[in-house]
Amino acid sequence: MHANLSLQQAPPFSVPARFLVSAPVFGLLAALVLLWHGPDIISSRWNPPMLAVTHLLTLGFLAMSMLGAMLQLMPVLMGMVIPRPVLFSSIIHTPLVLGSLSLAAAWLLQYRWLFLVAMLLLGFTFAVFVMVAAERLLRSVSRHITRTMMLLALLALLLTAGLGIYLAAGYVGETFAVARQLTDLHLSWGLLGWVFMLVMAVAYQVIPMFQITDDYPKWHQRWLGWLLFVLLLALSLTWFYPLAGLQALLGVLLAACLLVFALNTLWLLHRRRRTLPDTTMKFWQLAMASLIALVFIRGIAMLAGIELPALLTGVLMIAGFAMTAVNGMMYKIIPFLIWLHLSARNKDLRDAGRREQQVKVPHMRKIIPENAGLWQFRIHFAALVLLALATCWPAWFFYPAVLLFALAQGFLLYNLLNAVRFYGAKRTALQAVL
Amino acid sequence: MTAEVLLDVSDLEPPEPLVQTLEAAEQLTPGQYLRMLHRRDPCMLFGNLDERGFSYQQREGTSTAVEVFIWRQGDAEAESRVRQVLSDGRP
Repeated sequence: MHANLSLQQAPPFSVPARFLVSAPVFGLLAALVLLWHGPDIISSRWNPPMLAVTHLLTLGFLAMSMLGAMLQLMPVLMGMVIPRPVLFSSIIHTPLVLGSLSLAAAWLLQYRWLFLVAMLLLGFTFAVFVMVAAERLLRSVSRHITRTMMLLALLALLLTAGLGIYLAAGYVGETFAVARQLTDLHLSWGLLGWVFMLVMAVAYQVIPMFQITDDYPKWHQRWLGWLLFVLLLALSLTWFYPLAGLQALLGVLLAACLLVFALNTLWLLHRRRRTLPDTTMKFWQLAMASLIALVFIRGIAMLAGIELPALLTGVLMIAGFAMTAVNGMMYKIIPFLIWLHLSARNKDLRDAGRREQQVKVPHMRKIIPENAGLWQFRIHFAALVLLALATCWPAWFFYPAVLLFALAQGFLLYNLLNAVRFYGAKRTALQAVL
Repeated sequence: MTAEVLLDVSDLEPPEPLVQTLEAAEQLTPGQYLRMLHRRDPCMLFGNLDERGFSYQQREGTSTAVEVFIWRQGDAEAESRVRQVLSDGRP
């Protein structure tokens, strides 16, 4: 039997859409918190309001959109069916929204009980998601490396959440000290094991498919994910056996993984077969440039013994790499889903012998106009450059950076909502004739 | 009218390869078959072809990674032409 990317296996549009549309709302909330607290907020990564901002972005924007994308991609790319997808997505989406808000509010308002609420809600969200998704992936007949890497990313998500809950427990009661030395492990598993691994797994499929490039080399697909995972495991062991030399070596090897992926992706994009301008490609290029900048800046700082601004690495990794890649993918995922679901409705009409009542499904590039995406990209790019500068010279760059960042998130939300509204109108028209 | 309709979708992004292939298949007249060239396995195509009453045969391509031959179910003339092309080796 042929692999069939089936309409029936795709969950209803509302399943991924609710996650993807929620993401920029959290981006906007993060910008509001930054504006409220002013330039002092970025003096230290330990500032409670800064921790609130970081988690609004990593949970509210990144985990939100990545779980939503997985709910869509697992059935469509790997032929797995998630039972009762609308119910399941509500069970995941609602506590993720409330948990992310509670955690941010806990830091902003300094209410201890809110940490407990966040721990319970987020613990529930990630435990249920990982359990269901891992079970489905293990049963999938697909042998594509994306499946293995998604499983590794889920394991990393579980470790990140576990470490996060342990760290949050330190804020709940007097008797439980905040285990700050574990923070680096929490963020390594989160940003590299979960975010980077999943972006890489998805890139292996969507870059050749949508950007019309060659496939990533076989060795790259086969080994890079595993290498990353083993390096993170080794890094975790150095927490128990702190050997400075080994830690430095692992850091270099992890940086090499980022560099190999970024350079390989840029090379594939450079040699793409189709030269039509494409906004998503610009997002991919910016995401990869951020990774390269991150590795070089950290490398130079290490060799020259310079101390980097506390948040520069975070800006490049979270806003520069991860949010940029996800933002770009949204501009393919949402129009593709709209096309897929409208085509499915048309099929129902054909089956009913009412071909003449089918609606015209527009070209994917018309659903989110190329120009709207391009301007949002330009604003996001400018915001990113200013955010990086703001970590060095907050007095000069903080407000323009945050205002542009808010504008980019607002623009993304507007673009996504327009697409959702377009789908709603077409679907209503189709339902009326069915 | 030529018996073979050639369609190269290898430089198109999803869902255009599927859309254009289905449109071209719908235009086939008796005796004609569609030879579709693509850079990868067309994942959504075969279910759609089954549903619309087309037969198909996929093979490794020469200029592109994949070639799919498509003809209307029951069109014996088109089918025998496809079989001939497939058995003759590469034209």
